[in-house]
Amino acid sequence: MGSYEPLASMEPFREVLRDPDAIARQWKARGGKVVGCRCIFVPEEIIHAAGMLPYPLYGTAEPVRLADSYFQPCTCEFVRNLFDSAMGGRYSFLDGLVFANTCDAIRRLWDMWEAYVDGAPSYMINNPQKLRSEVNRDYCLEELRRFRTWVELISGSPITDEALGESIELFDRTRGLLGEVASLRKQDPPLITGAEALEAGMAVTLMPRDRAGELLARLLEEAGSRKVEEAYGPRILVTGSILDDPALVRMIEEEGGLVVADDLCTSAKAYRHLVGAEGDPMARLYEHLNRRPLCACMHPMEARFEYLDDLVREYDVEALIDYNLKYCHPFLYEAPLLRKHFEALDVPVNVLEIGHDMSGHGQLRTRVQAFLEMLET
Amino acid sequence: MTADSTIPEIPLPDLKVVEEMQMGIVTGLAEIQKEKAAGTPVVWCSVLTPKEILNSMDVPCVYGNVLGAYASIFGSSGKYCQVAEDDGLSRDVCSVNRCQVGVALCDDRDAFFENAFVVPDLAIGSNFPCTSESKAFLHVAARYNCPYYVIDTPINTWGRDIPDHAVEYCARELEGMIRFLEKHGFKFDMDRLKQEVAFTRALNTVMGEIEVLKRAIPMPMRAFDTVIAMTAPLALAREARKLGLFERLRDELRGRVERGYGVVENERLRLMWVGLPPLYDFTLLNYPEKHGAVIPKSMLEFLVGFTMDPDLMDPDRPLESIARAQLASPANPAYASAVEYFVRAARDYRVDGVVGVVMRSCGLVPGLQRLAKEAIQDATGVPVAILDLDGADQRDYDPGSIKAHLDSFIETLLARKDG
Repeated sequence: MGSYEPLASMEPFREVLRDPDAIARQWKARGGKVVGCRCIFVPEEIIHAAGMLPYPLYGTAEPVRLADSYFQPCTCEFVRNLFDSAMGGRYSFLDGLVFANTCDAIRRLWDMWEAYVDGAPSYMINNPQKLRSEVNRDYCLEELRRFRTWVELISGSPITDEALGESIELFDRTRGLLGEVASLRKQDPPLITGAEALEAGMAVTLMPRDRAGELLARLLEEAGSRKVEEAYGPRILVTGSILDDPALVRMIEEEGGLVVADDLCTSAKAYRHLVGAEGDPMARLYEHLNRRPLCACMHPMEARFEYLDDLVREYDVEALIDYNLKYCHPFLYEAPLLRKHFEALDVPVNVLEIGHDMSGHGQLRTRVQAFLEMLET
Repeated sequence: MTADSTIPEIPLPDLKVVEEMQMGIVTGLAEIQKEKAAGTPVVWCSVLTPKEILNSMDVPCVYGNVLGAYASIFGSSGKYCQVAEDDGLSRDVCSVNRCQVGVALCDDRDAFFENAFVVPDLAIGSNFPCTSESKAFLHVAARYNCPYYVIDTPINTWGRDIPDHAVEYCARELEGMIRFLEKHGFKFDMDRLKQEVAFTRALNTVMGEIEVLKRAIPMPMRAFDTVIAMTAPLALAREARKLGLFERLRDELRGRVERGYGVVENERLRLMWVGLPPLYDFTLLNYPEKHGAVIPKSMLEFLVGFTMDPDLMDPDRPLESIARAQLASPANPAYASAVEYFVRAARDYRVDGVVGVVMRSCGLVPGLQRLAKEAIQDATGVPVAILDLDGADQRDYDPGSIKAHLDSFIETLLARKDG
């Protein structure tokens, strides 16, 4: 990949990822409430507007133990990992937990959580799965209103439109800054690595957004003037299932790829668009949900591919790595079609199907190496 | 087309009327080919696509996953799964749909598809009841360059009190399906849709009566016959798609019940089958009979929807009725209504044990089995055994070990029953 001098401004983000629950625990210790969320389709602004900390659930690299007594091993490994953590008590500090309606496995996780995990109440936002549509407007808005009411119950106080507007503004500011960080990857050579961008993107979601804004501003300043002595290798876009560990991106970069763009819900997909400042805040949240980049859980698939086409153009991408978690059905269904779509455009695609715990790490590295070598010839 | 590979043993229906239904299914497939030859577009759709809309618009439709099921029933699941996997589809996704995709992609289909396969002109999928039912059709649409419509059906997070905004959204999605079909040459007539909804209401009433008769001890209908009868309304030829066959089935069962006739001579045990039976080995459904055990209830009955409460179908509000039925269905993926259905069935059918099957490639059932097992055991005390058994991909099937598991479960239940 070349030589990238370490960025001091990355350290606070890495600190957060080393103990992802620390900020939430501190928040609780100060008397605040924390609401767990799974999926970027959860409008975290509503939780924030109620004075609570949205806390995205990420998995661990630990092998699954307890969850395998509840889910058969052919269930999404990420979901089993989260449930394992829940059964082990990791999330006992939560005051509430919210899922978005994305895939069969998440829906079943919600069922199982309701049935077996003691503690905080959970909620499923019944968002439409077919987006880019006007037909879903009234339905989706009503579901968002119902979610807002649930959040008010958990927090114990009403959410004013004014507070919601302020939260949207704050979250948009962070999205804008993360977008600027992502833009540093458009350059040749990119001024920030893919692993760094993913680390920063994930860490931001775990911290209060005002604090995140300060750290991102510092990162932008330092990375913007970074001197990259040498950077070479094919410009790669990583797409696929939830990736909550930068290890894969780091591996691609160690093997010589430049991960200049990603379409991951733990990274760029979360901040690609702003909610915006004009109009009724609930309507804005709906519009944002309806037009945001789609994952394979949603429809139509063409909108996902068009978005990827845009990223390929914007970031001057030479090849894609399509990362699929074992048993992640939505992405596994789309993987062959995605490969055909991009191969027709002369953009090579390497489809990976791997475990959440990165099992088979050595084999994976060999596959990545072979792909990158193939690109270089 | 190539010669058939070795076709596995498929049980013969026990009831004459069920045999007629089986013939009607074959004729129905041939009819679709004729319509295609006459220039009518053919739609591939998922099995829970509202048949009332399709029938009311005279849409010749092939249930894609039924084609996948045929590949398995005729012993060729390995071949068709392999075709799909060679194209890049993961072995971990639904095997019924992998077979479907394989059938769609294959250039060398077996002879048994001669009367069943029709090239699609349109595709309709749905996320009800699962991801596979919408995503698999992307491959079909891509292969044949078909316009594709997806029905977005919300999951039921509301329980019994399904709110109006959900019914309205679901109904609008169905309107979208109608507009999609109109755009491609089919005509919509509201009165005909009302007639179809009225028909479903009448059919579900008869099916409900059949279900009640199946509760009788001794059990009057073999498990394999139930599979045919419950799926028949989907695929029968248009002429046969009337109430007559089902009324005759009901009457025949009633006669059996009145005579005290049971399908096994000395019925000793009653089982419920939760999960997909292995399509490549339907003999397994009748296998427990050697122990004097019968299967009066299986999950297929609620999956296809013909045992739903007939009162949900109001011909004066056709789209709203269909939408409400989809949201209230036990097949809707939120677990509560499915588990409630299993518990009620365990009681109603007076079962002594439940066989839960986890299809290795299913995204929906794993996890549900644990919830169902505990709910059934807590509410009724009926033991539940969970078997790891894929419903359509027979490559890892080990009949000896599955039968041994069934034997030991049944023997344990018999010992328990005999005290």
